[in-house]
Amino acid sequence: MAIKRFLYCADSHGDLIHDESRRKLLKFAAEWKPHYRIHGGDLWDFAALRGGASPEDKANGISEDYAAGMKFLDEYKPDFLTLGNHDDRIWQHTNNSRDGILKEHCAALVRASEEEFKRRNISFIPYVVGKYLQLPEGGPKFIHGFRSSNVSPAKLHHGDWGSCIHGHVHKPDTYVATHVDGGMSMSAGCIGDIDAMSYANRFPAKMGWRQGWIYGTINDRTGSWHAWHVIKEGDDWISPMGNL
Amino acid sequence: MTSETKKALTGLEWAIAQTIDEPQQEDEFTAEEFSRASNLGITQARNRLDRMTGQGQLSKRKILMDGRQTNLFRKAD
Repeated sequence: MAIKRFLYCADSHGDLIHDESRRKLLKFAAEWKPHYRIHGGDLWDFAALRGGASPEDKANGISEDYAAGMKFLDEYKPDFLTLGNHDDRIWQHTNNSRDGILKEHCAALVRASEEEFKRRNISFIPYVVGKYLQLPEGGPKFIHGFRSSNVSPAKLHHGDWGSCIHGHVHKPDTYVATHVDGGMSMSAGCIGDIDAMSYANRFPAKMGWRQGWIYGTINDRTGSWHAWHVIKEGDDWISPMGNL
Repeated sequence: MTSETKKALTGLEWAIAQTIDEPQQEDEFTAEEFSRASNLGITQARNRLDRMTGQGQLSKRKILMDGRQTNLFRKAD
């Protein structure tokens, strides 16, 4: 039996990345030496492409956001990327936009992005409900996340995907299934800067958001897995290994 | 990033810029503004503006204001 280590982070949100989280994560990755690095999506923010984007959002464009996302990819070096709803905006416009010019230019960026992933040996999973990442040894399903409720998000995702690790809600959460077969799901904190995500300043759910990520192990013989949160609480970074 | 990616980004930024609405002009007004100025209730104001638009006295366009699609009216040319 051998133990495979994995590291999962999500929601870095392009140029809204939280620099301290980025530095802590990269240091942790260097020490943990995971066999698999996973980025769980929302690599970019793409505020200028959301429905109802303000003129200011649009005027800010996407270049800095995109470049910051790519810089983080080059530092974190994930093996896998499960695209998130923010990333998916360029795929959505490519497939569904009624604006022909926007559609055409989004399609060009989709092609370029897929080529960038390929050059970096990153396998990506599209933001589609039935698609997920499962590692060769087994373990949980890895997704970005779809449910937006911050009330027991891990339990909600467990109901649809079974044992899984997801991001999307920016709120660390764990659900241990209560049936005989066991199972567990976990919601990760985020690498994006919570304070900078001002669009959510009126959402009470934001009070549950935390900077953080998830790391874990998989038994390569049985596929059983264990995982743990790293969460920033105040000025401290708490993990089962202690204060990082 | 490859030159193809940079080129795609530049193109998309241009395309996004084309979707920025022209801001409200001095001779344009919303139904809320008309309602306040004319002392009419908002529903009555909207009905009157729609009727005048239908009769060709006003022209109408939509812009995004405070995250909501809003009608702007002006005297028809």
